[in-house]
Parts: sequence; structure tokens; C-alpha cells
Amino acid sequence: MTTKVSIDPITRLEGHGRIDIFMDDSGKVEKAYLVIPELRGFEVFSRGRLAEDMPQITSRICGVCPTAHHMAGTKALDDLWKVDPPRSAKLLREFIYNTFMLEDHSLHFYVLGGPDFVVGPKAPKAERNVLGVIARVGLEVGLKVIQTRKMLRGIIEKLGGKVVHPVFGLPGGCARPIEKGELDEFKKIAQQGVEFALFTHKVLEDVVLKNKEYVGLITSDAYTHKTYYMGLVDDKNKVNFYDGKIRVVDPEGKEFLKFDIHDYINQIGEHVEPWTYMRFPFLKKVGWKGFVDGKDSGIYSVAPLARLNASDGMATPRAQEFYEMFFKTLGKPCHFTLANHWARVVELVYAAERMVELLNDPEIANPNVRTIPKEKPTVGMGVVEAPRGTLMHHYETDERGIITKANLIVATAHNAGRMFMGVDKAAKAFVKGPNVDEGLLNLVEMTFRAYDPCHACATHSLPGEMPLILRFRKSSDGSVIREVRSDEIRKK
Amino acid sequence: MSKQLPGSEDRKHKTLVIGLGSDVLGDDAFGLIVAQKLLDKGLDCLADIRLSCESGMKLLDHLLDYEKVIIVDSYLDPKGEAGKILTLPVEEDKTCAPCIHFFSIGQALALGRHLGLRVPSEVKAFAVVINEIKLSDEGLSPNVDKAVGAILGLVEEELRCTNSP
Repeated sequence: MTTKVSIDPITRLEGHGRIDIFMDDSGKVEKAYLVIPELRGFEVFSRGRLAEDMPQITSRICGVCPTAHHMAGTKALDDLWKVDPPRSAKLLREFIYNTFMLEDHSLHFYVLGGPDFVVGPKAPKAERNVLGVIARVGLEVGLKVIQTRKMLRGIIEKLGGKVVHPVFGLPGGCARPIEKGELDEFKKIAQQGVEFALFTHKVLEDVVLKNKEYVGLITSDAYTHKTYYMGLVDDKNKVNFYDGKIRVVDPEGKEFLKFDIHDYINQIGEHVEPWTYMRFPFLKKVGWKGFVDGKDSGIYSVAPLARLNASDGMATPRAQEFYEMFFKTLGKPCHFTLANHWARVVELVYAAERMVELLNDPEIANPNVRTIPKEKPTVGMGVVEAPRGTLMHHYETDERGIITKANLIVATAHNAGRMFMGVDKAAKAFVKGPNVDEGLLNLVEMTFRAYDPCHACATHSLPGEMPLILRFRKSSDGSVIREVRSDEIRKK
Repeated sequence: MSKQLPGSEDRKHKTLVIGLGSDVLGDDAFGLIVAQKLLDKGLDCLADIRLSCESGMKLLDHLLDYEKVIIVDSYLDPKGEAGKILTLPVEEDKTCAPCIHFFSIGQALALGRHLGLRVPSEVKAFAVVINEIKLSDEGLSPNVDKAVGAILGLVEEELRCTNSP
């Protein structure tokens, strides 16, 4: 008999995620809950502040995705003051944004996805890390990753003033144009970025796709969920990170919704569970039907796999080629959560190619990069595709531009429902009793690692990584059988 | 022989002091405040001093090509004694982080070393215990604020020892 258990919700202050696994007397997993801390109180914090400070303030939420928050906030300010930036400013913003995407995606592939798929999910734990990846692909490649990232960050620092808290986006444009001499330097880096991205896809083809065991794991039922998918698309339904309409496809891949950011309130609802502060967004037109797959369930996901599913292709040639290879291999729509890693590499190629395209547009060097706002501010909404998925900012102000309301929906929130189902399914598939070892822990972790959930508060950590807590409970009375920390179990 | 990446030429000293945190998250700003005060005191004559809100892997770029790094940060312990000063070991760590948001400084250092980059041979961390991280513009809580002076003294002493003949 399963007893209903109320789990004390952790707050974001604890700074770590937790999985609660409920087992029957024989050790069989009945349910697993993923609890992710979420940044709360932002609405209250923002109230009374100047709207134009929001891109700077929101970029301080997270030490990993500041550029995404900065850009979503900047676009919300355009909308707030009803000002259309010059085309040169839009090109520059998109360029800096693709630079950020390339940097972030490459880091994720080599440092996080790489250990699972380049080294192998069942490889000895001492090898299943970024050092193991380097051992497989070569030391020079490891250096190339670090060097490429450094050059990309150099671009963001030059244009944005600084890497972490860019001061680049302003309502109606950008803080500065590309300076004389920078264009050639950036073109050279962008071209290196393309070569690096193509090399990365080759690594994926050679090491992952040619390994039947890995492909079997990617396509296994333990990591499969048939949900709706969401992503930004351009006017040809191609993936776009910076701008476009929000498109949603159903679990059969058919277009279900296509809407402007201003309509998000009518399209997205938020379900609340008593055991967590996390809210679970769902599609209002379908409704919340619980943590279940399928066309009748309003759960959807964002992130690279969702973006590819929600689009009709990529807007650059090599990325389009890989997009076709992706769906020819895995089928469309693709429901395999672990395919996020491959989708991320397809997007990596797109980001690099797009950087080159943008720099080759002569308009990007136009020194006029700002339209001065003249309207009175009221309501503004902005959306971008963060590396981890669709990011929405919504501000309301008084006529002086003082914030009266703010709402942010981040990628981790969009993915909450699917991540929850994924952890539950993987735990049921792999965990047999509370004596879980590091290899099994990794198989469960892999499901949410594919999304790289953002813990918002985890801007840094001392002395080491922030642990994931695994708590095993008896289904009958909720009592804790065992609690382990991922960092401790990993180091044993 | 260790390698130097392009863009590392701006190192003026062999030692780096880096204050970590976020300036909108209350006591989490501790490291940034200490680093700024070190700059105000003119201690950048003894070491490069930086402020950053970045995390693990993204900190690697800052740490390369120094012989010694002193990290100033906050240590989140909801039940700990707020304001208590800790000296924490920062050891190279070859394990794999579960996601980017979990990547530690130790893991970043291990990666740098493995790649043959010039990773500092000594990394020391001074931290103050804080009870919570919250969105706030009110500055530091009283007990944490009191620890600023003490940490400044510790870092200054460390720098003077490092630079003494």
C-alpha cells in the first residue's frame, strides 16, 4: 500500500536539487520526485526599480546564463517603450547572442554530455569526466575547446563591456556599434567557430552515432517521453535564437500553436504541486492532466531537442544538413530526451554559421545602433531562446518607467513537468533498492543532465560542486531509508 | 611545458585575489564587497584583484597564468554561525559535475592542469558563513558585515607574506 507523503519543500536557499525516491517493501521504486530549487521573490524585488535597469539586474540572477537574461530583458524594454531598434542594432544583438550560444553549447557538449557519450555511460567513474573526453578525442581538442570559448568570450566582453554582466542592450538598440578593426577580427573568430562546430559534429558522428550501444541507450524507453515541444521560429519556421514567433508542435509533430510573446498568458498555465515551490507550466488549450505523456496532456518541453522538433529546419546550410541527418536517424518528432545532446551540436553549427552570416551583412557595421524611445512605457515582453530553452521576460511599469510587475518564465520551469517524468521513469528503470551505486546514479542523472537545469541561485559554490541529494523513502510511511549526496557517492 | 592562452597578457602580478558573488543576492555579495575594498585600499599594488559572479568552469579563464589565487566568497550554511570566517581547501577534483550549474572550481582547476595550462600551484579560499541567499538590495546582514574587516586583514596579511622577500 502506498501512503500519501507530504515532502517538506526545499527552498532555493539550500542551493541544491533533490530526488525523493519512494519504494515499496521489496525495494521496487513506486515514484521518484525531482525537486529543483527555484529563484523566488523576483517580482517583489523588481517592484519600484527603473525598468531600464532590468537587463542588468536579471543578468545577475545566474552565473551561467547572464547573456540570455540580458537579451530577453533588453527586448522587453524595446516593447515597453514601443521602440523598434535600427536593423544594425538587431544584427549586432543577434551576433552577440549567437556568440554566447556557441560558447555555452560547446561547453555543455564537451564537459557534460561528453562524459556520458564520448567516454560512455557505463565507463569507470574515474574516466567518465571531461578528462576522459579529452583522453578519447585528444589533448589538442581539449585545448581547442578552451581556446575557442576564450575567444568567444572575448567578443562578448568587447561588445558588451564585460562578459558576465553585459551592458550592451538598451531600449531601442545597443550601447555601441562595432568599431573599426573589430569586424575583421570577429570574422576570423567566427570562421574558427564554424570549423570548431563542424569538428564537434564529426566527433559526435564518429564516437556516438557509430556506437550501437550508445544509440540504443539514446533511443531506449527509459529516456523517452511523448510530449508537446516549444521553440522560437522565424517566418519560415526555421530555428531562431534571437527573435520570432513561439511555435508549439504536438507529440505527432503537427503545428499546434504559433503565437506572439504577448499572447503567452493566454497559452501557458502554471500548475502548482503541494510538495514543491516549482511551478509546472502547461498548455492551457490542452489542460493539466497530471504527469503523463501524450496528446491529451498539456506538458511540453523546451531546449535543443524541442527547438528542432518545433521547427521545419535550420536557416544555415551545414546546420540544415545535420538537422536532416538527425531526423532521418531518429524520426520526427524525436521523443528521446538524450537526443538533446545531438540537437545541441546541430544548433552549435547553426550558431557559428549564423555569426559568419551576420558579420557579412554590411549593415552590421552601421554606426547608427539606437532609436531613442519617445513613447510612455506601459507593458513590455521579450523572448529569446536561452541555451536551455525559451526564456520570457514580462515587465509592467507606471508612466515614469518604474516597475510595478515583473514575471520571468525560465527554461527550467518550462521543462519541469517533463524532467519530473523523466527522473521518475529512469529511477523505475534502473534503481532496484536503496543501495544505489555511482553508475546507477549516473543513469538517473543523465535524464535531467540533458536539459542542464538552471538552479538560479547557484552562481558559485565553495568548496566544491553543489550536490544532488538522493533520498530513499518507504512508500508506506514516508520514512527515510537512506540519504546520499551525489558528490560523496561519486568520490567513493 | 605549460601553455599560455591568448589574452592572458593582462596579468600584472603573480597573485590574483578574486571576490565571488552576486550583488543582488544579499549576503552572497560578500566576496565582491571585500574585493572592492581591497581595490579601494590600493592593494592592487600587491596582486591583481578581480570581482566576478561567474561559477566553476567559467572561472577557469580568470585563474590561469597565476602562481597563487586567493578566493573570497560566502559559504552557505543555513544553520551555521553567520559571520564566522572559514579557510577552505580548494583541491583539484577529477570527478564529473552533473550539470554546468554544479561545476566546481576544483573541477575547473583539474581540467586546466590536464590540458597543460598554467594553473596556479596554490589556491586559498577565505569564506564567511551566511545563512541565506535572497534577492536584496539592502547590503550585508549585520553579522556578515562585521566579518568584512577581518577578512580584509587576512587577505592583506596573506598578500604581504606572499610578496615579502
